[in-house]
Amino acid sequence: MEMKNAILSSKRFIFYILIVLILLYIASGIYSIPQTQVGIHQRFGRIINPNVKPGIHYALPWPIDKVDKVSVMIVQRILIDDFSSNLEQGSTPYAFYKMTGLTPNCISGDNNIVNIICAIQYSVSNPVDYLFRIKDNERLLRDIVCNSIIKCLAALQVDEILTYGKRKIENILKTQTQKKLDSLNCGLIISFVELRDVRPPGTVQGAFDDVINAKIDRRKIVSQAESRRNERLPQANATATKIIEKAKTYKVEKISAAHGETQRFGKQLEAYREMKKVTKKRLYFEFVKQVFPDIEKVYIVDKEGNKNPAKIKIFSDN
Amino acid sequence: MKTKILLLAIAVIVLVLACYSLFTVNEKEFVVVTRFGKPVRTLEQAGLYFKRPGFLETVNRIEKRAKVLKTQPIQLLLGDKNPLIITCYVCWKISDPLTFLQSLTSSDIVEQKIGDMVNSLLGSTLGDYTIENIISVRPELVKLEEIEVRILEESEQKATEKYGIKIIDVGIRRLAYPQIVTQSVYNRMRAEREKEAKKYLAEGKEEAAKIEAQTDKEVAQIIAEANKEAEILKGQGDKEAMGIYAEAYSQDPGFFEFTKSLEACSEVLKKKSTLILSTESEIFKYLKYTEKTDE
Repeated sequence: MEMKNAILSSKRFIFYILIVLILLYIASGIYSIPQTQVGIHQRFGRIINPNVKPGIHYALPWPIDKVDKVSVMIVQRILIDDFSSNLEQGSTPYAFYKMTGLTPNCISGDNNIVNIICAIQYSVSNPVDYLFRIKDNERLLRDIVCNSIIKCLAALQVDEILTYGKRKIENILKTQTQKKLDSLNCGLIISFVELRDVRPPGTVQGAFDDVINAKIDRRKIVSQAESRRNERLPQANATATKIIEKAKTYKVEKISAAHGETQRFGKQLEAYREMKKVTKKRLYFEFVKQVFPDIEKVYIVDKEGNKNPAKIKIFSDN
Repeated sequence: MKTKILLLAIAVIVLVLACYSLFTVNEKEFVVVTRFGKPVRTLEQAGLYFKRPGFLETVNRIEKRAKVLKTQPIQLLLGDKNPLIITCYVCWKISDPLTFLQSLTSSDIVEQKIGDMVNSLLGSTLGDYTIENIISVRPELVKLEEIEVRILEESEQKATEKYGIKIIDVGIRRLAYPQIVTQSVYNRMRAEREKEAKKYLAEGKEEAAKIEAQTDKEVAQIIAEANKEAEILKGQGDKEAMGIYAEAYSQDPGFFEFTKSLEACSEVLKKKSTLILSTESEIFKYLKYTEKTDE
């Protein structure tokens, strides 16, 4: 009886365990999709829902159903350094260098050599294409960007590439690459292309720097000339003002001198008119008195014409 | 009890059989079912399929997704004998799994064959083009796209027939010059830059000279203008003064002459001058008389 009971209870125990296991198996189909991902729900390998939104979902347990999750909201980035001269071990340029012995670079339309590094930001736009159409999406993306860079630079001048054309190149790269990605059903979308580093190769960098310096020098020479000009023009204006002021002074002096003199003359004339002879004589002697003391030698000659005029000291010591 | 055990045994056998004869094909692959090496079915749609159990039929899974390969760098001569090193990428996929399975065995070997094929096509195609068609400042001359399309078309035909694969895209991945050419390009680049730098300096000097000349001109103009104005002012002064003099002196020209001559003489007779006077002159009028009395 006890034996029977034991067998019965153990049977029941196994039965319960089986039930639990089956429940667990069924429950294993519950899964969740995080905010940034979508799920692709497959049954026996066939896609039955290509776009499972974030949240808690149920799929039949293995091996019937399978859910692949793909990040769609997360922006990823790759650095395209295939055309840089960075020869670190393990980098893409290094692989090329090892194979050919050449430093990687890119050729511009006017046959100049440049090194270029660009960064690409992209995300998954079509999870089904991304997972099931292309095997090496990132590798293909890299190849297509390289291809776009080569084609783009092959039709541009080196000056444009190095200086003012960067924005244009970025736009061309973005549209060209996206076009190719779409035609190949890559399931990727490029959100941003940035030219990180565009420069001439190291050996000719100096010559390019010289051009930049020459440009600066040109500006310097011109601005020096301009500053000299800015100095000289005010100086000239000052000189001009001085000349004019001098002339004005001359004019005023001349006029006031005329006034002074004529006034004096007027006074003298007044006196002269009153007593003509006397005034004239007085003026004459005044003049003699004023002038003669300064004269070193005075010779007095007789009208008759004596050959040896007597030197008479009249004024010196008296 | 016995029937129960029998049922259980049958169930187990069915389950085991199912395990060995049911298989799924997913979206990433083709399946070719072979019977002792001989292909019997090609499954291109994903889903659940039956086969004869165990070793009776084998499932060969073949990649359905497109793959990318990079060709070996190859040095070629263009139509104008310019050497160029080219690497391409090739995007390809298996389009006919049966042919693929029969022709070759592994993807690696296929990739190598595709690479060789593309390289040989490059060699024959690029002979039709010059360096102008590869790089040019005139975008309409650049024929890279055309070259890629030609290679794609020609390689596609060969590949589909031979290997059961489809080439989706061929693109140039790298263009480079051989070492010697690179050196000469560097030298030319240097020379060009030097020329440009000199040009900038010359331009600067020229512009500076222009500014200098302009400044010289303007300074001269300013000074000349000032001198002119000054002369006019002086002239005005002179004229006005003369007017004043004329007005005053015309009252008695005789007296004016007299005073002026006195003034002029006092200007002329400065220190250290020697004066010779006649005894007839006005100041000796009286002295003469005294002299005569002395005698």
